[in-house]
Amino acid sequence: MLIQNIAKIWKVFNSSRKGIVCIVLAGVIFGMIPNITQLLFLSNEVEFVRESKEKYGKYGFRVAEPSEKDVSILKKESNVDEIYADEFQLTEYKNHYCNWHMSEKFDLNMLGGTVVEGSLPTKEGEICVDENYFNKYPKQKKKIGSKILIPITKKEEKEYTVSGIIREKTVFTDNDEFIFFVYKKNYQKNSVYISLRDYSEMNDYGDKIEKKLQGKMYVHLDLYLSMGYGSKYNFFDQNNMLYKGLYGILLITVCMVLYHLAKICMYDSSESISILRIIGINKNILAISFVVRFLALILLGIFVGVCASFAIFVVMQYSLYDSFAYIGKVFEIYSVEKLLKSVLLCLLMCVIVLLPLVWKIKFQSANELLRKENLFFKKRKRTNVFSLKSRFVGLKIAIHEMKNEIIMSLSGVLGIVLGIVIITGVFYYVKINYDKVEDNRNYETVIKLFDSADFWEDGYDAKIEKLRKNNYGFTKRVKTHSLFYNSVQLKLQSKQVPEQYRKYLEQDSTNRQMLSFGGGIEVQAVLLGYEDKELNELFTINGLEGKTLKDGEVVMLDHIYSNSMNTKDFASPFQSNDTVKIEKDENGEEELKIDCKIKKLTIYPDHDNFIMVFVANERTFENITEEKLPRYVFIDSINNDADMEVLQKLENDPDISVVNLKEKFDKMEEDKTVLNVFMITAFLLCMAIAITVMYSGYYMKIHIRRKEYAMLHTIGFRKSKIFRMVYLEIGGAYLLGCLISIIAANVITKYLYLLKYPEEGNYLYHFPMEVFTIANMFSIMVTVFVVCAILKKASKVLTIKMLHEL
Amino acid sequence: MNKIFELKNVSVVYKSGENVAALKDVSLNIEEKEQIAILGPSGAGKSTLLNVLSGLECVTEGEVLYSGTSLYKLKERELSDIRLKKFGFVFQAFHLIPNLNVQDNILLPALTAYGKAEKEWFSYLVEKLQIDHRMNHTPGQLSGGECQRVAIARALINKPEVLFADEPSGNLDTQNGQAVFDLLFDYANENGKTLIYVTHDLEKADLAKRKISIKDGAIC
Ligand SMILES: Nc1ncnc2c1ncn2[C@@H]1O[C@H](COP(=O)(O)OP(=O)(O)OP(=O)(O)O)[C@@H](O)[C@H]1O
Ligand SMILES: [Mg+2]
Repeated sequence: MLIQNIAKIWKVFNSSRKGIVCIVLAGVIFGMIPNITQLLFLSNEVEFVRESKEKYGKYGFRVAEPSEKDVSILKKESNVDEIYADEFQLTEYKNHYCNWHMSEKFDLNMLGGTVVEGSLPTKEGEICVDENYFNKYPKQKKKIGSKILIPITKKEEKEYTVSGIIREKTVFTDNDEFIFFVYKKNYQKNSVYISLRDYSEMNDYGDKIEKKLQGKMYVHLDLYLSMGYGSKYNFFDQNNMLYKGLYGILLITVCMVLYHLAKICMYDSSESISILRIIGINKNILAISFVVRFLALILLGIFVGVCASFAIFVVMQYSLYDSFAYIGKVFEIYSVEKLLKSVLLCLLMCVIVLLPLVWKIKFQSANELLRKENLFFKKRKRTNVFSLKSRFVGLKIAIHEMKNEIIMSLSGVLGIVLGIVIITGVFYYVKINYDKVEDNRNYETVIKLFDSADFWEDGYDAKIEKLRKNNYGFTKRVKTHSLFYNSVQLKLQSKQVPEQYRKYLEQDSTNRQMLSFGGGIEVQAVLLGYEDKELNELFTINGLEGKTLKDGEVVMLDHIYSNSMNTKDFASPFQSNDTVKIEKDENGEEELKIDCKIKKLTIYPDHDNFIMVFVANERTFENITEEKLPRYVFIDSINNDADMEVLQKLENDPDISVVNLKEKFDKMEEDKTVLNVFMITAFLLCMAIAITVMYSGYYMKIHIRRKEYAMLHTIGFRKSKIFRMVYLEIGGAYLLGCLISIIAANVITKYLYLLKYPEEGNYLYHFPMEVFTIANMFSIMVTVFVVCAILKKASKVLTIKMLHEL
Repeated sequence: MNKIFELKNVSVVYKSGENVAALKDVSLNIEEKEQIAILGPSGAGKSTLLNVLSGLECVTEGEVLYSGTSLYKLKERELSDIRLKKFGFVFQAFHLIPNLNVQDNILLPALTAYGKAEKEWFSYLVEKLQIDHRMNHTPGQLSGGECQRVAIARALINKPEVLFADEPSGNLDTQNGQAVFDLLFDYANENGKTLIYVTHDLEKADLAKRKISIKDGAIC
C-alpha cells in the first residue's frame, strides 16, 4: 500500500523531465568538480616529481661510506624506492668541483644527465666527460675517441680516452661543476644513492633516516632545490595550498549551483505536491518520498559525476603519457576521505534547501499549498509600493521584489561574487605565473669580456680596447651593444625612503635599526653605462626621441628591478631632478642629478634580488667607477658565415666567454607542457563552474519570476519594459556582487601572490585592479550573453501560453 | 455604427503533441458600444476567442481587425500599448501579481500608462466592489471572489474602450455576482464602451443585447 502510494507519487513528479535533469545535473556537478580537481592536482604533483627526476636524476640522497648495516636498513625503509651504488670521489680543480663516478655500469636514470654524443665508458681507461668541461676549457679536443688529460687533483693529471660527452641539467644558472664517468673494475661501493617514493617531506625524512645510519647523508641538491625546498613553501606545500584554496572555493560555488537548481526544481514541483495533498495523500509520505526521491536523484548524479571524473582523468593520463603507468602513482596519494566529505556536504546542502519545503508540506493546508505563491512568498501585510502618482513602476517593482526575496537575491549576488572571484583568481594566477619578466631575451648572444681570471694581466685592456674599436671583429651587419656595468653604494636619508621600499629594506636588521633611528642608510644600486647610440635607442623606446643626457646626470629606471619576478609595481624611491649621493672609491662622494625616469631599458642587468638601476653615459660612468671598458657586449643576431666565424673565434679565446642567451632562455621554458595541461584543465574547469554559478543564478531569478512577467505582459507591459526590469534587477545584483567581490578578490589574489612569493609578496602585493577589471569585463560579457539567451527563450513564451502552462 | 472588431476566417490551432483546433474558421463583426455575451460548453473555445480579440493569442489563420488595423501585424510595443490603454481584461484565473498588495495591483496599469491614477475613479471602484478594507493584503490572502473583484478593478482602472471578462462572476455568490455585472454594465452604458464577456449563466447572458454561442470552436 505504502509502496504503491510512493510509486504513484513518483510517477507524478517524474512527469517533469526538466526537473529530473536539473537535479541529476546538480549531482553530476557535485560529484565531478571536487573529484576531478583533486585528481588534477595530484596528477600535477606526480608529473612534477616525474619531470624533476627525469631532469636531474632520481636519487634524493647520497649516503657516503655506508656500512653493510646501513644498506640493509635502507633496503627495509618503505619510502626508499631504488638503491644504486658506485665509487664516488669529489675533487677540486681551479674553483671547479669535479664529480667522479666510477663503476662498471652506470645508472643515468638515478644519477641524472644525458649522453649527447658517444656512449658511457665500457672499457678500462675510458671516460665520459661533462659537456660543460669542454665549454670551460675549449682548448681540449672535443671528440669521441680522442685522448685527453684530465686533472685528477691540483697536481696530478691522468690520460683517458673519451667515450662520450654527457650533459647534466642543473638548477644553477652558472654551473661550475663537472661530472665524469670512468670505467673501473673492482670499484669500491663507497656511495649509495637512494630514490624515494614520496618526496613531499624530503627534509624530515632525511633527518629521520640520517639518525639511523652511520654513514653521512648528502642531499641531491638539484632535485632538492628544483622541488622548492629551501624556500618558504616547497612545491608540495604550494600545490597543496593552491588545491585547498581552490577546493574550498569550488565546494562553496558548487553548493551555490545546487541551491539554485534545487530551488528551480522545487518551484516546478510544488504544484504537483499540492495537488497530491489535495487528492488525499498522507503528508508525511509525501514529504519523505519527495526528499528521498530528490536525494536518490542527486546521488545518482554524484555517482555519474564521480565516474565521469575518473573517466576524464584516465583518458587524460593515457593521452598524455600513452600509458596508464602514472595512474597508480596518483591513487597512492589520492584521498577517498575528501571525496566522501564533499558528497556528505552535498547531501547536507540538499537537506538545507529542502527543509523549508518539507516544513510547508507538513504544516500548510492543502488549499494553501495549491496557491503556489505561498510556497515562496511569505504571507504578511504589504505596505504600498506605489502612491496614486508614481513613475518608474518597473523599477519600483524590481526593488520591491529584491527586498522581499532577500535570501534569493543574496544567493544570486553570492553566485555573482563567486563567479567574479574565481575568474579574477584564474586570470591573476595566469598573470603572475606566466607573465614574462623583463630581461635580455631579445638578444641572441652575450660576450662577457672580463670573465676570465686573467683580465688584470698587462695588455688585456688594450686588447679589449682594440676589439671594441673594430666592432669586436664583426662586420657592420652585426649590431653590437656594449654595456658598462658596476654596482655602486647609494646614500639614502631615512625620510627619503618611501613606504614600500622601506618595508623591503627593513627585512635586514641593520637597516631596520638605521631606519628607525632616522639615520642615513647605504643601499646597493646598479650603475649602467650606455654608449651614446645606445642612449638614443633607450630614449626612443621610452618615447623620448631626441633627448640627450648631460655629463653628471643619470636616468633612472622607474621601478626596482629583479630578473626573477615582475616588479613593475615596485616604484623606485626617487623623482626626476632629485640628486643622489654615490660613494666614489674610498674617500669621495659624487652627486648625480636624475634627469628623468624611464619605464624600459634596452639592456637589463643580470640581477635577481631587488635593485635600483641608473643609467649614465660613458663619461659619467668612467668618472665614478674609473672603468674605461664595457664588461658585456650584447648581439642581436648573426645571419652570415663570416660573422659566425668571428663569434667562433671569440668563443675559442680563453679570456672571453660567450653565452648563447637564446638557448639559455629556451631551456628555462622547456618541458613545462604536461604540467601546463593539468593546470590549464583545472583553470578551464574553474571558469566553467564560475560561468555555471552565474548562469544558474540568473536562470533561477528569471525562471521563478516568469509567471509574473507573463502577467505584466498581459495587462499591457511592453516586452522591452519587462526586459528592462530584468536587466535592472540583474544589473543591480551584479553591481552589488562586484563591490563585495573586491574584498573577496583581494583576499584570493593576495593568497595566490604570497604562495608564489612568500617573502617578497608581503611588501610587493597590491590589488590587481587591471586583472579585476578584465575579469569583470569577462563576467559582464558572460552575464549579457546568458541573460540575453534566457530572455530570448522567455520572450517567445511571454504570452498567454505561459500563463496556461503554469 | 463603426465596426470595432472584425474577425476574418480566424482559426487557432494548438500544436502540442496532438493538434487541438480551439477556433475553426470564425468570422465575426463587433460594433462599437456593443454588449456581447459569449456562451458555450466548457472547452468550446470561449476563452480562446476572448484572447484572440484582446491580442493575447496569435491566430494560426485569418485576421483580426481592431478599428480597422490588423492586431497581429502591429509591433509588440503598439499591441502592448493598446492592451494597456484601450483594453481591460478580467481573467478566469485572475492573474494578480502575488507580491504586490491589492492597491498596488489595481493601480499598476494606470501608473504604467500615465504615471498617475485618478483618485475619485479609484475610490469609486474599490468602494463599489467592496474591497476597500482589503487594500493592504496580497492576493494570496484573499478569497477567490475577492481576487476576482480586484481583477475587475484592475481591468477598469484605465477606463478601457473595450472590456473583456472571462466568467467574471464564476467565483461569486448570486448577490455579489449581480453586483459585479451591474458594475460592468453601468460602466459600459455610462461611458459608452464595448463589453464582451463569457458566462455559463443564461440569466447573466440575457443581460447582453447580443449573444454568441460557440461549440467546438465554431460560432453557431
Ligand atoms: N495551450 C493550449 N494547448 C493545447 N490546447 C489548448 C490550450 N489552450 C486551450 N486548449 C484547448 O482549446 C480548447 C478551447 O479552450 P478554451 O480555454 O477556449 O475553452 P473554454 O471555452 O474557455 O472552456 P471553459 O468554459 O472551461 O473555460 C480546449 O479544448 C482546450 O483543451
Ligand atoms: Mg475559459
